[in-house]
Amino acid sequence: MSDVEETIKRIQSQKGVVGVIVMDNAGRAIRSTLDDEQTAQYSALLQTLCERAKGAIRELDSTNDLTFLRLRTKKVSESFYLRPSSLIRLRMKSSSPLTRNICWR
Amino acid sequence: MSAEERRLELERKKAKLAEMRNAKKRQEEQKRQQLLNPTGGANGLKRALEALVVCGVPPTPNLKSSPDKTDKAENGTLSPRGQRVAAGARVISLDFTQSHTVASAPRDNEFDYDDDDMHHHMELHSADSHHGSPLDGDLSDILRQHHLGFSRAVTHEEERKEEEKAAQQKLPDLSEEEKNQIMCSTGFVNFFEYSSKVMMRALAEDDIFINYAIDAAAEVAVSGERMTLIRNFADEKWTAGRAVVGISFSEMHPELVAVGYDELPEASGEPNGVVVVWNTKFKKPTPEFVFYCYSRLTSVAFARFHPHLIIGGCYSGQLVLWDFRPDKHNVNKKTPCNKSPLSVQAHTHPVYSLAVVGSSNAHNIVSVSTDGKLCVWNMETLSQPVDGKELVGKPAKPVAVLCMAFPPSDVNNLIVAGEDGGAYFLSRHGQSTAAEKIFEGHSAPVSGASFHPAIGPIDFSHIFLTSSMDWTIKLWSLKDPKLRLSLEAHVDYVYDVAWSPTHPAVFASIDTDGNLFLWNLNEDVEGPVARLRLTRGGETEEGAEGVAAPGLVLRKLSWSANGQHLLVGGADGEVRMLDVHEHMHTGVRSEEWGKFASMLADVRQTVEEAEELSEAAGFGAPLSAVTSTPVTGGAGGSLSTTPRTSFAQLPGQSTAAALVAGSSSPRSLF
Repeated sequence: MSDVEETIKRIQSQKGVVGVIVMDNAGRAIRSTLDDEQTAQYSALLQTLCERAKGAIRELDSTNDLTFLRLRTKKVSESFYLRPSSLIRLRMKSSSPLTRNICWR
Repeated sequence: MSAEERRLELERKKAKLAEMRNAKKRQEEQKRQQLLNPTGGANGLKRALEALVVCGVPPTPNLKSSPDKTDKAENGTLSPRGQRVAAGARVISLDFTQSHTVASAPRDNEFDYDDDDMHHHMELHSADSHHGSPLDGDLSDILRQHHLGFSRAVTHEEERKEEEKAAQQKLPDLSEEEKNQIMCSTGFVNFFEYSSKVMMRALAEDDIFINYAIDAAAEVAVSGERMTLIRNFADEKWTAGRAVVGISFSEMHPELVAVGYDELPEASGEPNGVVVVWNTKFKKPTPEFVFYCYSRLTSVAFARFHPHLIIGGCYSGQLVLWDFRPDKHNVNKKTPCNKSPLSVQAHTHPVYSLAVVGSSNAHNIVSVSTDGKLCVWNMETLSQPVDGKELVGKPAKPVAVLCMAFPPSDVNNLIVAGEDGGAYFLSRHGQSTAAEKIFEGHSAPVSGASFHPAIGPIDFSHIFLTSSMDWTIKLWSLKDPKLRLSLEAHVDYVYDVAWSPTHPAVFASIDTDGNLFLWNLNEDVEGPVARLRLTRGGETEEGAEGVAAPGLVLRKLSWSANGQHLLVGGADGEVRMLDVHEHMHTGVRSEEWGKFASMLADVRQTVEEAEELSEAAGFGAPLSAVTSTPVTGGAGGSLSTTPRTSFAQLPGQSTAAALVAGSSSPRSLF
């Protein structure tokens, strides 16, 4: 328990990390370092995105599954990580103009 | 009369009971027939059951209830009923051969949702509501309805609706209690532990999106330095202030390195010994694993043929074993999974040296403590050593062993050295407790020993180095007592020495004044080719101008397996990683081997000449006296004993590391 908090704090202190959200695969936040509004927004949007990406992978090969997703955009580079357990975790990193979002399940 | 009445009533009741029993029997028989019906296409039934399972409807109630229904409707007797049921089953089977082809489609759909519980549930609910009660109509009808419900559910619109509905249903957030519950579950903890590591690696990863065509800054700076400080490994909580006692690279995962740390001075309650596994590949600043034990740690080693195990030697004399893997309760323990007991058969003194030797099929842990006790352990059982002996030194007393080295590809013989300054070559087998060969020459305790790793055209596996508190490093040969060399560039206790695993003539050494020397005997046989001085933090440097910052006490030294990196552990709990210039690890030319051989021959000749000289002078100098005089393999055999001038220091340097390349003009000896 305290280990988890410690780890989150450590990740949060990394350069460019905006926030850490741990959520389950229904998009509900379990732990978040952002405010409620942002958490709700991020988790809702990212949950659908993860779901879509997972759908695409499964469509191509039904025995396959998405485990990690990383995005890079013009202003924002985001990473997600998914694992076939029931949890998703999400993190954003913004380094100068970049923001990364990482989320896993 | 009343008794008579009662008797009659009893009889009536008995008859009723018998009837009920019969009915029950009939029902059972009927059920059995239904199940065991051989003509009814057991296949079809099975498929039906499968199909039902696919739809998420438990098959038994349907099978039971539908024949019951027909029974009641017909009010039939036993014998026709059984046949009817059989016939019914046949009808079902006929229907199913058709629907079976459809049944495979929903199976895929089901797969779509298999780990998405919410969706699955939703679907089942909707399917149930579509076909209503499963009791009306015969099985095939029910099934068809199931399929319809299913195929309808599969369509995209339906899916979207479901999702919306699901989203609406999911909206209620987790309560604090639920969150806590999740965060405390072992599943979450394990997931979190692993994935946070992955995340840290991902964050530390170099930018893979560099466009070399555009970014001017993306050019890799090639440095001409022989050694460059590239990384620091330290952890506020676990390593700060703890002296490094051992550095060991993993063979299975060459990027992993286990570093052992001593106790924290003046701290109670904290673990006395800590082992941290660092990753040299990913630039993540956090440890991969942390382990600890409640005894001071004096040595650490990766268990060579068990990639998940780390062995530690304790001040108490115990050996401890840590495991990376989660234990049987699926918890990652930080405490040892196995310990050796304190007994007279094992060690009762600090274990400063330990190694795993042998092959993947037959290997042992060899450990030596400061009372001269050598123990051989089986990896599986630490309850008792499988072999052991007491080592006796020259003045017939136990050797206080501080370091140990095995020749490459030799598992039976080893060098131990310690406080009396002698290096003892002995076999770990047999009864003899005395050394086969004794190498005397150091006038102070020997702190480190390293054998030439020798993979090349010429075999140098008989060459080894010892570092000592008498400020010298000495080179010895197992084969030739006349081949010896004393290197006297350090001006403080030399704490460790290690041969490069790739270059035949390169080795590194550290001392207690923060100096890291890189030697290349092919270039210079008197002094290091590169020096790096590590100082203790920035605050001491600002104190007095012109006065050099006090050096950091360096304790341990290790090369990475590819010879590319050097790891230096200090007494402040920091491990520094240095990049060694590529000419020392990649593309080492084969002529370096020949050069090293002729250099050794030169050294031997010089020693011989010196011995002849002293004999001619009638001194009859003892061996130790000869070896302790500086022997420098100059081309002309000149014995220049002038100590190397101390190198320039850069006061006020904030990086606390001054790198000065020594002897810019390599001496061509040959």
